[in-house]
Amino acid sequence: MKPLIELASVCKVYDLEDGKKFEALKNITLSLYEGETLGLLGVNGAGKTTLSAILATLHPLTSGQILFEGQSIYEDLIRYRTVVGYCPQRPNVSPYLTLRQSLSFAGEFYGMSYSVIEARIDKLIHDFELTRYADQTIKALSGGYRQRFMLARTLMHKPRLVILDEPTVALDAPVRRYLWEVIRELKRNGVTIVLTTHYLEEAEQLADRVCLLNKGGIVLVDSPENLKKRFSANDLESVFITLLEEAAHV
Amino acid sequence: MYKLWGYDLAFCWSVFKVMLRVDLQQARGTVLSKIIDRFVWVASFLLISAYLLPSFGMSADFGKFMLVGMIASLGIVEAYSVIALIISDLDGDKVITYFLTLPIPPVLVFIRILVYYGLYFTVLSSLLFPICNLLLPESIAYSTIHWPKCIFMLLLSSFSHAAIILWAASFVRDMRMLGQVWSRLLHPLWFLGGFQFKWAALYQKSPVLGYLALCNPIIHITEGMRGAVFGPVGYLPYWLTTTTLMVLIVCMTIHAIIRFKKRLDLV
Repeated sequence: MKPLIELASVCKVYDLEDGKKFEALKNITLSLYEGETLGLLGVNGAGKTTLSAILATLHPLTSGQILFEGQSIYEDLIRYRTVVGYCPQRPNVSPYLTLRQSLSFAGEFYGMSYSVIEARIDKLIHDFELTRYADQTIKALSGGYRQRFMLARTLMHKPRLVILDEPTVALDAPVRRYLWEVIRELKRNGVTIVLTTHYLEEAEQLADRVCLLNKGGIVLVDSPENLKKRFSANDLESVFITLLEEAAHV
Repeated sequence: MYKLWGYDLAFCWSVFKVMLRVDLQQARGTVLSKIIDRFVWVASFLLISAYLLPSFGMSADFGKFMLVGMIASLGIVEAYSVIALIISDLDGDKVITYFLTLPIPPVLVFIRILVYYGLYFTVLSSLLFPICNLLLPESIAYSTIHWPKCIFMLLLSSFSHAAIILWAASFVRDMRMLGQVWSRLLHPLWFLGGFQFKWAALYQKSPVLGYLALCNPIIHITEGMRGAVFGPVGYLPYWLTTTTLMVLIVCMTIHAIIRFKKRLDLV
């Protein structure tokens, strides 16, 4: 099977204000296959958000390569961006537009026709149970509904690759479960997903493979089942803690 | 399909237009409020310059002279609040990051800020002409205006202000620095930008100061606008003001984009 996305020796170095350098990502080599859900795990500062933002082409690499269907994503940035949907940690939505207007513009940005946009908005508003808020701005929404809307906007142009940066952080259990169902539905539809999360249960439930990052480097990549078997653990959390302890001793 | 540096120009243009429409949609709710703001601004100014100052011996034409300078420098008065908007977004919701992941080159996100505010200031400045005549009849004699020059200068001045905003915003690291932008950049540019005096008068007083003042884009805006409204005699040559402003718009925009690209670490 040919990978959809290939990361080869990806490094990201930031120049700090005091003149020092900070290596946020170290030599990341990883493949992502069509229809797969990859969970990106790690403690705060492990490099999850940096990697998500780089995959979404918000930030450039310092060195290395990212290939999309065998071609560097920077060679045809527009083509790559049209197939990617990026949902950042914090809702970056205009507070002056209604949800319907935001979705409509989101469709127009990707060259969708008005009739397709209208149909898509109706479907997304219905699917994400946003009907009540469709003509209000994001300011009227609670955290859970904001996140629903962020997902709806991310999916507006039907991306093939969806990057979700901690989509369920700080949400209560029912909303989290609801969003899990949305992600499962995306998976059933063959969408490739990169899911950054702090919740190990979430990764266990949704990810085909998990990638554990620590201090900017990959500790390991494997399926949750294999990891549990390999470490004779009942859940991913035990595996995660063992691995981090091992990494701390290296 | 026309391509530039690998980008499909037609597609980029269509996305760019949608971004401008987003800005226009967002501005819809504030247009009336902005017009009222400017009405209050001009009315309070006219009260002093056209009715009060002549009683202290100032020429009655001084009010008209300053009025045109004020219309030309409207953007600089608006600059503070626009820079605050840009910085509060970078510090807060980061709505700009959504635009920066759209299928367009990131450079266009910043050019859109320039174009949007350029057009916005053009509309606001244009409205000041009838407002001035409403408050002080015949304050601006339409018959003496060289309209093509005036309209072109209105556009250039508005885009210059937009470029100054973009450029200044690229230096402001956080909201705490906003006060410095006003006191160290915007206010000196405006106050030394000739809205109260002619460049020729400054040059007569001190040629060195006169030449130094030519580095200030606002002096080119006020002189160019007055030349177009009152006639060219006694003002800087129109070709000089327009050429200088066009060069400044391009240079400041490029420099601002380079700074933003570095600051936001963009592709």
